Amino acid sequence: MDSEPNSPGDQGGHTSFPIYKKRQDLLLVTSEEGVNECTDSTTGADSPDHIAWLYDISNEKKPTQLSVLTVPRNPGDFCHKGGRFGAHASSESFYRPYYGKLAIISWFNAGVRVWDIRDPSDPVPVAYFIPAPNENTIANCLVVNGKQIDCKNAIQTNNVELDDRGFIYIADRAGTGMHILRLTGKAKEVVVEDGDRNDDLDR
Amino acid sequence: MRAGVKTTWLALLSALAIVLPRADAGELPKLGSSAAEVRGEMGVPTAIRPAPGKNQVWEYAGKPSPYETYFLLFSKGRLITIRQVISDLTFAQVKVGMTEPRVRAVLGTPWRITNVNDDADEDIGDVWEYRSRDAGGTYKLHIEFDLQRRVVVAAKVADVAAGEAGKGLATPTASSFPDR
Repeated sequence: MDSEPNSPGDQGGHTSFPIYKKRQDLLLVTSEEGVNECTDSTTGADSPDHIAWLYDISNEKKPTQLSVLTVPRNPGDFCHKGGRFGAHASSESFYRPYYGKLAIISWFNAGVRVWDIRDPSDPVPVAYFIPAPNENTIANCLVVNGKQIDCKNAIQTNNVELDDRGFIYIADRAGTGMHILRLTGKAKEVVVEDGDRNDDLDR
Repeated sequence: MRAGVKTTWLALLSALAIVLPRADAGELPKLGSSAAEVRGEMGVPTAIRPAPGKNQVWEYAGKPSPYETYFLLFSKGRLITIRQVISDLTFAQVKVGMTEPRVRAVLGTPWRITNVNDDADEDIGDVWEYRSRDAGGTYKLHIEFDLQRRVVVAAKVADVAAGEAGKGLATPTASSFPDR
């Protein structure tokens, strides 16, 4: 790239996932949240949430930011649930039924989040799933400048992947385990509405 | 002098054996039992460590219940004290900067050792966890180490099953935005 994607602050690229369409090539990029409870571990100050972006990379030398994918801190009180709250990784499967239609991203203590990206300039959140902590969950501790503040049992959805049947697999960084999910409601409709045509996709 | 130190040390251990909570005393071997008798009752110890005065400490981690770890002190081949070591009293001895071997000597073998590091550049050490229970229910002792294997965090954390069930936190939440 001749130009860097427009990402603010200390955001960085954890996952970059290309989405090839007939009219437009896209790149889904996620940063990785690194702090616990939205708090800078050195200063104790509020730390901006790490997020995700969609870029138009039809001209690879001049990527253009189309949209930003975020999850609000509330409802959910995610900054006080324990552990990290923010983006981590997207699914990276290039096949049906979700490719080009849905962006599916692990968001640490906010679970897995799903957006309808059929209009990449206006992604619409359509689903989420937040596992419950269980007896295997490893506590996450907030430490600021070497001082232990608190420890909480928080799930940390770390990675997400799909299969060609449409099942979504999420794995927890904090030991909670793996969950196998299927879409329902509005999120499922996104796929059903278009059937299995994927007319807009190059491949 | 040396004998005096030994006597004091054994007296302290004996006092702790009385003070610290024990599980079902009926499941534990009787003081005075031989090593063979103890092994026959409790099985192979999790670890055997030397103790002052040519004595030995046999550790039974997670036995007889998963919430207890017992240190059995043998002198001249006979069991002289039994103490359950996972407690607030012993945990209070764990301080920031303590080494892994010292923690192991205080609390025994952890129930679980994990490391959430998924990147070689990250400076995340191991996490040791111990399971126990008190009047408030079951809990975990959560101890984080740095890469130099020294304690950086030591916390008592309520178990999810006991401490958070019924508060809505132990229920997964999901939505497919039916109202959108």
